[in-house]
Amino acid sequence: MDQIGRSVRREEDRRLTTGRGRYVSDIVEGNMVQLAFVRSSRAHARITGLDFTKAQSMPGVVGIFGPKDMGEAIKPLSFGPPPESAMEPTMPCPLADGVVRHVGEPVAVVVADNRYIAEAAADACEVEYETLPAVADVQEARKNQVLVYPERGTNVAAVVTRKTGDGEAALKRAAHIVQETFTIPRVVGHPMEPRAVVASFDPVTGRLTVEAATQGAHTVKMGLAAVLDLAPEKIRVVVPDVGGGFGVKNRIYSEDAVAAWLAIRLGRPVKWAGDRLEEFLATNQGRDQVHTASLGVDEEGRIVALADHFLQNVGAYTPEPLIVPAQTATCLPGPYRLPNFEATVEVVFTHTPACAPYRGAGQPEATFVMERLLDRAADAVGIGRDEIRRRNLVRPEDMPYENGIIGRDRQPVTFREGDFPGTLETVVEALRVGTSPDDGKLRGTGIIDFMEVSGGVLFEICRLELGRDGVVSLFTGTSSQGQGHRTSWAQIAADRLQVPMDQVRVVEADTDTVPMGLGTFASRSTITAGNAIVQAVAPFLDKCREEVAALWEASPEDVLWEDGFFRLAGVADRAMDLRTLAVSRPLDAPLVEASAQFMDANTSFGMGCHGVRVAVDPETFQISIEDYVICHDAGVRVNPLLAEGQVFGGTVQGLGTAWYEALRFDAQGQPLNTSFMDYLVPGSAEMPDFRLVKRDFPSSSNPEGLKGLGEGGTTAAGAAFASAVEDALRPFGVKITSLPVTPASIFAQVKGGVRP
Amino acid sequence: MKPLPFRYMKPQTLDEALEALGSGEDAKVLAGGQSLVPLLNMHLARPALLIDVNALEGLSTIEPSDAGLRLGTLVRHQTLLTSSEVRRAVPLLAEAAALIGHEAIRARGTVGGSIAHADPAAELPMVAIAKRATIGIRSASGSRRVPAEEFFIGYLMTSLGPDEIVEDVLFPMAPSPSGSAVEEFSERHGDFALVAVAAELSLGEDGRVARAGVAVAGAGPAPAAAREVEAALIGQASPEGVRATAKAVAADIAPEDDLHASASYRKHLAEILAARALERAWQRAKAASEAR
Repeated sequence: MDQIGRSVRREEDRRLTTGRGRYVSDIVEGNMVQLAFVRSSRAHARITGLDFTKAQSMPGVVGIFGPKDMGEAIKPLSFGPPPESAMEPTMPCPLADGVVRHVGEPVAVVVADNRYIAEAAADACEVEYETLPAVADVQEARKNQVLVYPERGTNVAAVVTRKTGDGEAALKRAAHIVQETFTIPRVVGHPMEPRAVVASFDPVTGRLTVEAATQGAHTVKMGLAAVLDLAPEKIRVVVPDVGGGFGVKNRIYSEDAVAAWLAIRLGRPVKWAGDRLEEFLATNQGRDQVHTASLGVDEEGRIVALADHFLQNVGAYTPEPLIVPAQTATCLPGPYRLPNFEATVEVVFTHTPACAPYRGAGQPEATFVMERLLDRAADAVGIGRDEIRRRNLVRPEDMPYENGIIGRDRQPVTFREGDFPGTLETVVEALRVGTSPDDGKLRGTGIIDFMEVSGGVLFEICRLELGRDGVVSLFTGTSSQGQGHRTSWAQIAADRLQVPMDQVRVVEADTDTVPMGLGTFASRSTITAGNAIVQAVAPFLDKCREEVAALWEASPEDVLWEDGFFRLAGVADRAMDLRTLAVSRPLDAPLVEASAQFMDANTSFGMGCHGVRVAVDPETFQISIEDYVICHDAGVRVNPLLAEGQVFGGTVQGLGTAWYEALRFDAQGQPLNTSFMDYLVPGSAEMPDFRLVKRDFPSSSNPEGLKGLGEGGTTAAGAAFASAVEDALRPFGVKITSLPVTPASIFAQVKGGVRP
Repeated sequence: MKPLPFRYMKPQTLDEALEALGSGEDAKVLAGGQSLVPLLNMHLARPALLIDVNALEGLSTIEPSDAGLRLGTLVRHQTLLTSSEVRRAVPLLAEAAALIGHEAIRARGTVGGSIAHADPAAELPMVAIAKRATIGIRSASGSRRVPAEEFFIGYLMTSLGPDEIVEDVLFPMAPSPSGSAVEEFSERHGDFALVAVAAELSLGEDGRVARAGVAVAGAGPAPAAAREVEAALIGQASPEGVRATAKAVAADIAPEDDLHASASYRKHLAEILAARALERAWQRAKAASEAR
């Protein structure tokens, strides 16, 4: 039976929705201790003294450790296997080594019987600071008046450029040039589950076992091996249930290293389960770009050139320094025919937490800039906002279309399949523009295009193993954080093995089961692991055929594989399925296993379109979403239900950035809104009932035609929402150039403006 | 985000609770815990002693009388929505309670807790001001009643002494015919209001506004009575006339800029919401008048 393409519910659904998940926080081990970190209250300071006297004497405190106690382990963390290493990461030490560079940086660690005691003791630790000047704003930091790393002489960590055709110079040939400054603020990723780790050391085997809420088990393993000077084979990293990652759980953090170091030092299991405040202060954040961009079009609205100079705030530490800014630069042209393009980004250090890949990782920023400019250009030319897109999208007859940029797979960005104008029309037609109630509200629509870049990042391994009970175990290095890999990987394997899904057991993210894995990020897992699974099936079945041949005392060439059965050529009644094979084998027969490694050499591109209709109260500027239509080319949908969940969830997260979210810092680098009272995320009551219209084109970039779709919703929502709200507020002449779009920000613009 | 160590007691009688509260120890009263527990978790409140009053009897009563509707301090917000007595006697309370947080919060949060916590954007302190309610206060040494306007004195500050507890809130009944309404602007469903306005109008024999109570939340350090608006309302006899008085609200409030909104936006919202609340209150009063 075909399993690929079925909307199967996740196997973990019942367990997770009835409180029977097993997250890191749920792990309890005998003799376990818990950690709380003493974190810097200053954005930039020299630590001149640590006094643990009062805290040390509190009942239940096992020990308090500062950087000096950690000795050799106090060195910058290594990222692990960097997907892109055009620039060396600048990483923090497990505990700050003399200087702190953002509020929340770990300074010391308390080990106690439980988290309550640990927090109380951390509160009682005294840190003496020599406060140094700090800078949080990227434009301020660019002035180099306050330096994050004085020895560098500048806050500009790197400059990245992308150019095609005549670049910026071509702008002068345009009939209309629109220019704007756009701001996308700092946002916090906020997985529902904060980061967490449990580390245990077995003195008998000398092995360290780490259970971590991470997107990359091997990434954490390699990172720990480097910082603790351990042989990698002495470390096993296992990932239990994880409640969301969105990119921010895709690295080794200071807390992982400290917990592992303490597990070895104390010989006791050590747990650190971070809380929401720590998620605000000490986990990678995202966005934070300021663009000055110009789009030139001819008399008919056809794009002549796009030029963009932007700043990327990367914070104080840069685990993945260039991924986001490079991806923004690469994605700016979107799905359009764009003959001349030039983008320059300056990557700037500030005294803020690391700003690194977060769902979309540069694509939402690029899409916001490009789509806002297209809206402006349409207005300048005097044509519809949908019409200007129609005139500029890459057409089927242009394909394969190379836009002249080298992508993250180090190949020319090439659109090989799809019907971009057709996708646009589908959404234009689906979006209800019918009559509005006469309720005094202003209404507007936004229709924007986007391109989801997926995969194209190295490889995954899949290993298949036939159990004695006939169950096929599938091992791979990806790491589900809610995507439902155990279900969709089983679907892919079951489809090709022609067995029921429950005959496949998926084991993910356990470093002892596959020699290497990259993990789950960059919308790569379905493509990379999916193809690896398919490619492991053929050698696996070959091994099985040999086993069947041995049982039947036949030649393997005479054993055929049809409809889920091995058959003997020319003998009608000789048939055996996998389960029968497994139970028929002699006890001393060797293990049947096979593996494949799939290298995802080419990124896949999935074009999509979001259409949104909003109503705005012309007095209070309260915004409501009345309709939201999404078309997103997902290639081959392994599980349409889970695919839909990814698209809707991504869109909600994008609406967070569009509508509510911004982490604010004061001039001294103090974050100002570090709780869900003050930092708003989308609530279910405000979210629309999304409507999905499907136009899928299997990817030509990988054998199975798979595409990623985890980030497109986030990529598109900001541009679509801004466009619709601006359209509704035409009577006020409101111009939206920054996110989030809040009623207060609209009021700030229209104050004294003309009301309709 | 775990609270620092504190001593916990759960007294069975009010006297026992008041004695502990008057002992001089740095104590906090725990009722529904919807504000206090987050403050404890974030180490913003660091009491030595927590006095859990949830076991005390006789503090959850709803008593209508000629003097008004008396709500015991432990009446839960959700009860304000479901109680027919509340809806009949002070419909403004039922309408305002629907805007408090989410159901889980309303199921725990208490009338006395909200009044004593005195968040400037909270609904019940605003209704207490609009209704000119009085707060019944007890301590080991006696009891007193304080008008709501004298009770709320600043940002999260009340005239409640460290040894005192809110025992009840008495909401006077509006002379009929009357009508009331609440308008609130919050960024998301269930959030604290950026600004909210509660209004209650009573009409005289001549069909004109004879008595008005208007209060604004979220536009200053404490909920404020809109006295200028109230004065302008007396004698109004049309929806347009009632609406127009909202312009005076700016004189009654003193908002400041913060992360969520500028002072000028809050003023703007106060005016818009006052106009809307007043118009609805007027329509309801008019309907009540015509029904007689």
